[in-house]
Amino acid sequence: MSKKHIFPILLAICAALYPVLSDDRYIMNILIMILLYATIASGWNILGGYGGQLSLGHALFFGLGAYTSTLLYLNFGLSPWVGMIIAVIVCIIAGMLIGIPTFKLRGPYFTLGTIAFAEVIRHVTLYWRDLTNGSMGLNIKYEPSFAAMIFKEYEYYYWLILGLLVLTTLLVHWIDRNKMGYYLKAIREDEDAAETLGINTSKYKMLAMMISTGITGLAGVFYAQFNLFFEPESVFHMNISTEIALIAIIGGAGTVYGPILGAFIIIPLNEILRASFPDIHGMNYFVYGILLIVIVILTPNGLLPIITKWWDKIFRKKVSKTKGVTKYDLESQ
Amino acid sequence: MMILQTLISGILLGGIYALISMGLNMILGVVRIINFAHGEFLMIAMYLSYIFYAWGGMDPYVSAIFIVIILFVLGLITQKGLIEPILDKPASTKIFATLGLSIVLQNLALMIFDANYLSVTTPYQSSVVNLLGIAISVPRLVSFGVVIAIVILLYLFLQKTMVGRAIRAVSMQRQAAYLVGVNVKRIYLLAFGIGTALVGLAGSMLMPIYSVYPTLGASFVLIAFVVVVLGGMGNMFGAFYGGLMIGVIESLAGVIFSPGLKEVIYFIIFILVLLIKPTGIFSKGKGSEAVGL
Amino acid sequence: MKKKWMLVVVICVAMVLAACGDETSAGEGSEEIKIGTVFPLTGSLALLGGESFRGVELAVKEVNANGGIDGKQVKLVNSDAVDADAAQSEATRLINKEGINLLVGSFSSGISYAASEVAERNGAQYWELGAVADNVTDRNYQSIIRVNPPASYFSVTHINFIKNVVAEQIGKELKDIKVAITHEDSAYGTTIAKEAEKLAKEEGIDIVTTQSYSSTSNDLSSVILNLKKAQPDLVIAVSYINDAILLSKQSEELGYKIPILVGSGGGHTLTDYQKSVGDLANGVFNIDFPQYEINTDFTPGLEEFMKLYEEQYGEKPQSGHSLSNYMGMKVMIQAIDDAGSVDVEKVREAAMNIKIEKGTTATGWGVEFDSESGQNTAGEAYLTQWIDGELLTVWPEEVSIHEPVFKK
Repeated sequence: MSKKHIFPILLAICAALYPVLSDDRYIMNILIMILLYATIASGWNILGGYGGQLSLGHALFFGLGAYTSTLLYLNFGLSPWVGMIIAVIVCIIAGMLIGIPTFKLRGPYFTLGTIAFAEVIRHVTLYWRDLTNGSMGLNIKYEPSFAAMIFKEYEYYYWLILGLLVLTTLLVHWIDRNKMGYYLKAIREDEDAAETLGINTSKYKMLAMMISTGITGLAGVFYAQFNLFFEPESVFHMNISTEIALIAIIGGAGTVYGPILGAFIIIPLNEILRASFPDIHGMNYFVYGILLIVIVILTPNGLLPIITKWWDKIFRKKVSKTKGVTKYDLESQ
Repeated sequence: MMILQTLISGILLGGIYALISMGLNMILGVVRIINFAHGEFLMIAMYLSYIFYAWGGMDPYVSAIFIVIILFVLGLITQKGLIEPILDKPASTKIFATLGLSIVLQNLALMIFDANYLSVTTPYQSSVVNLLGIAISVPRLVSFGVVIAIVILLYLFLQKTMVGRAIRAVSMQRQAAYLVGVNVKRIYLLAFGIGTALVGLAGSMLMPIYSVYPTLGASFVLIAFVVVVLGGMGNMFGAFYGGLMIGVIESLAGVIFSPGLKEVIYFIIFILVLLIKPTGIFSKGKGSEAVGL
Repeated sequence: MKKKWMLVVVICVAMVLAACGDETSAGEGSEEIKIGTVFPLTGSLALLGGESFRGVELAVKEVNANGGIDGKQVKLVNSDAVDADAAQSEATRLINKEGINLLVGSFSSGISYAASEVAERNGAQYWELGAVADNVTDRNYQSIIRVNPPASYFSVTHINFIKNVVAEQIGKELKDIKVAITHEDSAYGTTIAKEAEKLAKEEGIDIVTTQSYSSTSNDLSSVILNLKKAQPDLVIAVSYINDAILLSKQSEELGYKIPILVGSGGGHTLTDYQKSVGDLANGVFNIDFPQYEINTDFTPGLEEFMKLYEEQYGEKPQSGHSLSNYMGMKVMIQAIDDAGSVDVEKVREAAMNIKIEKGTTATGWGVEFDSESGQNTAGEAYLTQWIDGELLTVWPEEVSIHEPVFKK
């Protein structure tokens, strides 16, 4: 294991120990939300960041995951632990079905296509009341038990989602270092050129889609189990899709840790702003919008590359200084 | 009779969609940016129309002249201040910059006007013409007339004037246009201004029909995108046909299936069109196909 | 390399410190009684969410002006719960960060679900003063208390009105009356429509068509044409404001006169609705929380509320939502007062013991909680009608100030 990996590993260990040290549920709740969004954004990143396929319809898979496991639990008493696996399979199949047609589209057409699919599913969910309970949403009764994946203590949710994020990150890391990552990046830069180079672009885009939607669906199941109530608007809405993409982009799309950084910025920012202006209705979102514009304009490739650059600068300065010393030493001899 | 009435309602509704979408189409086709704040410009126009009415007692059809000018200027400011600096940035930057703008404008409206639903009262707002048993609302008929007029004017402008030709040239081949000496940046500026001016006109026409509230834009913007893509990006008249199509589909779907399913149906048609002919049903050339955002 | 290690250590230490340092949130024992509010103050629900919140604010202002509860001032800690997600997070913040265990909300059923779920988990208590979905209290959580009547009570008034008044007016047997329902498809519209359908079936009333549509829809012509085709004697509409306006305006445009239109609160109550549609509002019935043109003998305290409201906000209330929340908040304050503590169990026990006769509160509602579900069973929805630009209460008789008017 190279030294480069020590930093993230230590961070993950520190994060895992956090609940032992604190029982502040508010912070824990925010951390869970951050980790949840970091997971989904990391999933989105595989398709949207590495592959450059800017999907604004990922809420579809988030909601599909939540609905699949919850409906199985409510109707057949199937444990969400099993429902989770089924949800992932359903999301992957849905991802494939949507990928087949939309991958023919380029640029804005692809983005609009993903929005359209998500909207169709949202409206169908609202309409098909017999199955989905429509806009009244689904409510899981709060009866803590391991089999039902409902916990009294927030710690378990925290560890669960942290574990999910770590696994996702490992997967993204693996993709990043392997040919799949290179191929996806090639597709992002120039799809036609990638094709000419002999890359099976449809295959890799589809693979990215499947992994991406599977992770998003899994996160949806977690969301359902954590909140115990959701409605079509809270899982299928376009705002969720844009937030997912935004987190990855602000952090740094196409990097392993970018989406995690993004989640640690966007989610707390929302919370802070909401608590800051309780008396002027709309001020929080107004400020949020302005910050959003400023950040995306100033850092089009996300914040992580900038931070890495600073990091390298500090680090390299030290290196050059050492070099200078050696030189001086040599000369003095 | 029922079907005929549905068709007429659909066509009139389509006129409204077309009016809103033509501006978006101009921006998307020429500047090539997905402007998510388009609905908010509609909202601003309607609030302005309300202000002219409430403070100046001005009929929305009269104040339209001022609103078109104000919105044109707003468009210029937006293009100059927000869009121009990010033209060569990645697609995601453009999308989220306009999304950010839409959040800012929505909440600005909320802070200024509260969440109230404001409307104007005009003598003609509920007038109806009865034609062989088919009811036709006067304000909707007026806005339909305006759409037709705009289509004709736009056609003349784009075909017959130098500037219009330059706009078309940029929308088809921006590299080539640049090479033959068209000032592309200025054309962008103009196109964005025209786009917002058109939506300003749409706002004025809508004021006698709808009420205005801060999140009004959100309920129109997705439909406008659907209309534009159906009609063909960059094809100025595509938006007109696209609007009519969606209006009619929406009305028919509501009557034949269920009003709760009409969104599903037009989005499915939208997806089908994207798949079969991504350049839009009414597009002519390749030009817009390679829109690289 | 050393520097990198240092940074890791620093970050870890910082996290530990952050973890230890945040356990200082204020608890009880202060001179104030803190109550957390969970209302949607921005976004698409802002209009009525804000209106509801004002009622809570006024009740608190009133009690504080009168010396507070047991000499302690009541302090509202506000949050903006735009949607269910925000409600979840805000309720967690109020409970765990602000150290509050009494929450109040919310106008919207989705927000209510989310916030009450958090309250149940964190051992706090959630008072609902405005959301109507029946399921909110059907879960039998010990943490929930709801003062306002739920959707099913609205439907009772709908059906009773048809049975007792409309049938006679149009001279038809109950089973011959054709009723159409049209509703927006969010939780609010869906629940009321479903309850009305259920109840109508029990009474043998014929529902000829049920039309649902998206509340963000900007065209209702197909809904109206479908109604026209079904030829109902009476239309029950459940609408937010935008669709309420469209329903009236577009049916006029399409040359369809709805014989009897009965709204179900929401949009049909608002002055913005009347302003937007003008004369078209005349004659429209509406079933909702108590409104302001009501028999004040049955609603003592209403006039004081109106005065307070205008003093505070410089305008007349948009709808009865503020009034209902005001009344509900007063019940909550009474419960805290009776309990002499903000302990959730004591407050619940005190609340369950509160018995108030109908016709003695500002809304006319009585108070008698069902100890299982926490639902107040003595609330009621009243029938109002727009007559010459004013929303007059017309039924049931004890609250009415005008006869229901039927167009011939």
